[in-house]
Amino acid sequence: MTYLGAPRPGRRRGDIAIAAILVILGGFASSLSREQQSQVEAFVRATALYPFLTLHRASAERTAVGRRLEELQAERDDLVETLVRYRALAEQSADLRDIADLASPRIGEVRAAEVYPGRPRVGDPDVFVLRAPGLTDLIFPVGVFTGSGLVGVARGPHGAGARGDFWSHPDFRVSVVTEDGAVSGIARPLRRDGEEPILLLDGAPFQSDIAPGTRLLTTGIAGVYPPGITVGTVRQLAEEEAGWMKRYYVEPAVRPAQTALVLVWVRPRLDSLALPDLLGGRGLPLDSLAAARPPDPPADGAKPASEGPAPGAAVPDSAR
Amino acid sequence: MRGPGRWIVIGMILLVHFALHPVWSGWPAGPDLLAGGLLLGSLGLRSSRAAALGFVLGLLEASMALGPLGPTMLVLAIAGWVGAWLRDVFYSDSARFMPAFLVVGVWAIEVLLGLVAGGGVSLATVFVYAPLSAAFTAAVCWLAERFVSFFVV
Repeated sequence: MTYLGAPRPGRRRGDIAIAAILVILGGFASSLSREQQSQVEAFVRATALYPFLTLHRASAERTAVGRRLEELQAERDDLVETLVRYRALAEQSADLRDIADLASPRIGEVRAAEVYPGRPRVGDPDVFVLRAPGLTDLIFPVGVFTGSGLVGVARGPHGAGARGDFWSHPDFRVSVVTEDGAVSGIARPLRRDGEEPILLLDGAPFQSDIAPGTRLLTTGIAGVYPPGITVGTVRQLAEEEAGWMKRYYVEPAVRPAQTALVLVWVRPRLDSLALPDLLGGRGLPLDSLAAARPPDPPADGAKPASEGPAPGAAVPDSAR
Repeated sequence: MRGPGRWIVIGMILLVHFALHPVWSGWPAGPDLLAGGLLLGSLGLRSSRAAALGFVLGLLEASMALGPLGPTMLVLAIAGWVGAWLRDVFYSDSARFMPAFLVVGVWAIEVLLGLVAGGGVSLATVFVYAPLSAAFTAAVCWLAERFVSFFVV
């Protein structure tokens, strides 16, 4: 029997014990690594939240299809024009490679995936999860993009899909080059108070000038992003750094909120990747580079007995 | 409202939250129906059960929003516990108690979640957006309760 709603002492102890267990479980959940949290989230999303997520996706698709019909037709027309323009170039390139006895370049493949962005306030709007079959066997990190440009980077598996960061995430960096190949640098997100995030081109050489409207493309260095993906267009000069370098504001090609379907790059595996272009079309695997490298010169600076490549050795394109 | 009617309201509010939150998640001050449902639930539960409800809702919310799991679960579990405890402290049958309780509670949860799970809150959030969101939530919960009480005696 209780007096004025006061709980019995035993019940109060039970309440405190349950609360203590919950606090311990919460602390344990806080100590999980990002990958482990990702697995828990993936499980909850695939079970209890599955009907809600399906509803969100269906609603978003329904809205997007009606709104984007004209945009999609315009994109298709652009793609047809681009294909026609580059078909002749591709044929020329193939002919030249045949003449030079070079293997065809390996550019990898892409897989289509649905994007589920994080939510503002409680969640992180700069992260996303991807849903598509066969994403877990990718080599992470790997670039994610659309026909319009770079979206971000997939960082690791998330249940049967993958998780990653939009370009607006503070940890995001991508190596970029101007369309004409003249200026390169590193693009990173910039978030000013109360404004939508944009990109900042860092490390452009001081003597270089990039005109507003110039497109920036991925260089493909380090193999995370495929080369030639549009990252954004230069808006204006941000600042000059004491005669060393320049920074430019860059308008991103893709806004995270506008992405629903993306392409995930499946790059060729490094262990099977050969360097036919650099090594005279012989297709040497990467791990044979050490064997192909000439021996180190003697410590006294004297030249080795045989200077220059051995007969039949690989000669880089740039040395020809 | 007490008994099954209250639980129908809570279930409805939480369902609407998980089903429709993308509609208002981009607004600077949308209704936080998760906090509203949790606080309404804590009014009818013992403190440990209210904390457990907050814990489970925190797990669902963090998984849905891709936020930090542990901090979200902890904040909502503590909110459930404190909500149930305050119900005993400010025991009241006044019709104005529930909306006032919701406004203060949702504001506190918004600020705490922003601090612990979101990494920080701006002054505008503390003094403008969170109070607006709390008032909005209280209004929606009150309307839901009126709506259900029309059908459930």
